[in-house]
Amino acid sequence: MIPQLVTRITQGVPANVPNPGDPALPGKSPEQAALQVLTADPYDLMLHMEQVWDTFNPWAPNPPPAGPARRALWAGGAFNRYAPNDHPAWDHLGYSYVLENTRAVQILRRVVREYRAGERLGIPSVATQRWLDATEVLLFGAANPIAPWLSTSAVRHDPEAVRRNAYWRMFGMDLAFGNEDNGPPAYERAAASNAGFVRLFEELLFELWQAIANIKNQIGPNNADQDRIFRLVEELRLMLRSRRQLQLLAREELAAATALGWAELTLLTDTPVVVDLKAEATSAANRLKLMGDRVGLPSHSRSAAFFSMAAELSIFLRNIESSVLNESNIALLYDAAANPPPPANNLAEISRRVITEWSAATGKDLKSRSRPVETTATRRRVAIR
Amino acid sequence: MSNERRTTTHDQKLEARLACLEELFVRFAQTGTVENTLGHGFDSVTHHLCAMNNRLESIAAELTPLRTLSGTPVPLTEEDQANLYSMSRALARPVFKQKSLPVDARPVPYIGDGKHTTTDIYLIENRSTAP
Repeated sequence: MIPQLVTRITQGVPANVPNPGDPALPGKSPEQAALQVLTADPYDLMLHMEQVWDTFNPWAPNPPPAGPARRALWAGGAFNRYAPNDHPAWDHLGYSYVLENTRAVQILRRVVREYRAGERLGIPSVATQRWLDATEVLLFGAANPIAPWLSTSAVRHDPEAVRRNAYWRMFGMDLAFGNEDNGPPAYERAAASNAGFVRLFEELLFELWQAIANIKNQIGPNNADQDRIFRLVEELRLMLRSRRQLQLLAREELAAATALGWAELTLLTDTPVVVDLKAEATSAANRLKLMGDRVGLPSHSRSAAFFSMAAELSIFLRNIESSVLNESNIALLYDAAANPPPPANNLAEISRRVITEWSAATGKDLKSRSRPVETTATRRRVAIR
Repeated sequence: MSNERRTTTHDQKLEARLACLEELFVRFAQTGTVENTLGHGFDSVTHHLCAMNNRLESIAAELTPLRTLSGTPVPLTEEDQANLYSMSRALARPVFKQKSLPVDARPVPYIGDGKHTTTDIYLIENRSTAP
């Protein structure tokens, strides 16, 4: 949600949108747009979040979630005119999962605590103080007029526990670390979870690698198996959709994408808080490492791979989960030349990036495997005498 | 007697010169043969190379349909194409060109030091420090 909002600000808004008579909003540079978001009033960001959720209209054709009062509120928000036209305008839960594995949220929690508790980290600039206001609201549940979008309440008060629950249900995976004090994490593990996701996903990456490696091979033995790739995609789609019935987990996904999108935007460049913490570096992973060093909490050693694949993994999983990919066009996932021209994403290039970085992050060699994963066979009806 | 001897000596010199000329002629003839041989050899190699080149070109032409098997855009229905483009637009993200953000930081006075600027609550856009 956050990177996408920055993109919409860079694009600007034409005149008479959304209402006749509205003046045009010129586009800004990505840096100006990022600064506008990072120093925004958290209430404006929350109102925009509500707007993104409502325009997505999760229960269509049933009535949308927001009532007239809430709509009237976001109409006065700073980002009201940047409503998205394409939905859902937030990243897949996989994006949040890999970024959270860098330990960025726990490190930012310590940064906020240190800044709020004393002056050990120095005096935060005005821009950093605004960032602190928003971070406490977006990531750590500070009181604000509209809380529901955070997906937290007295019943489930810890945002991290809510995200861990969602990761477990969608991917059957926990984060690579415990709580901030390295103790076991406390969250509800639902009985219904996609425990077989990782095996199926890695099998798909393996088959895609075979297809990519053989894309130019016209005469030798060719290990690419288009039908198997399609079967694996279909299995993954069914698995992911089984946790999505009637838009279950969509709000949790939006909340997680907002929190981790905020963390990513904080680290993508030398933002005010990065400068104040003297953590300037050339990559997000190095900035996070330096910030972690300042607050005494090490980041994940493979953070670079997580940051490098987060956006691509989001697009990859969204497309797999959608109904776009079928038997006739499955080559989109491995044949770069078969993809339509920009601005459509080149899914083959995205697959390649995910394969490379997933291998780097997990340490698994996706170019070899012990034995193939069995996909669910269609059950045949047998007559019983 | 002396005349005969002089004539014999002269003939011997002429014979020696003729022999020398003959040897030179033979050498010239041999050199021409080598040049001819080399020339013919290169001509032959060139001929073979041309033939090989023509053959390779014809093979490349014959393989053209195989090359077009990959790289051809897959057929997408209008609906699928629209969904593909919509998902791409929905998840578009910014690309930063500069390493830092253009923060316009101004000094903040202590309470009681100089005039404290009040906020215009209607200028929402101005809350940002972006220029």
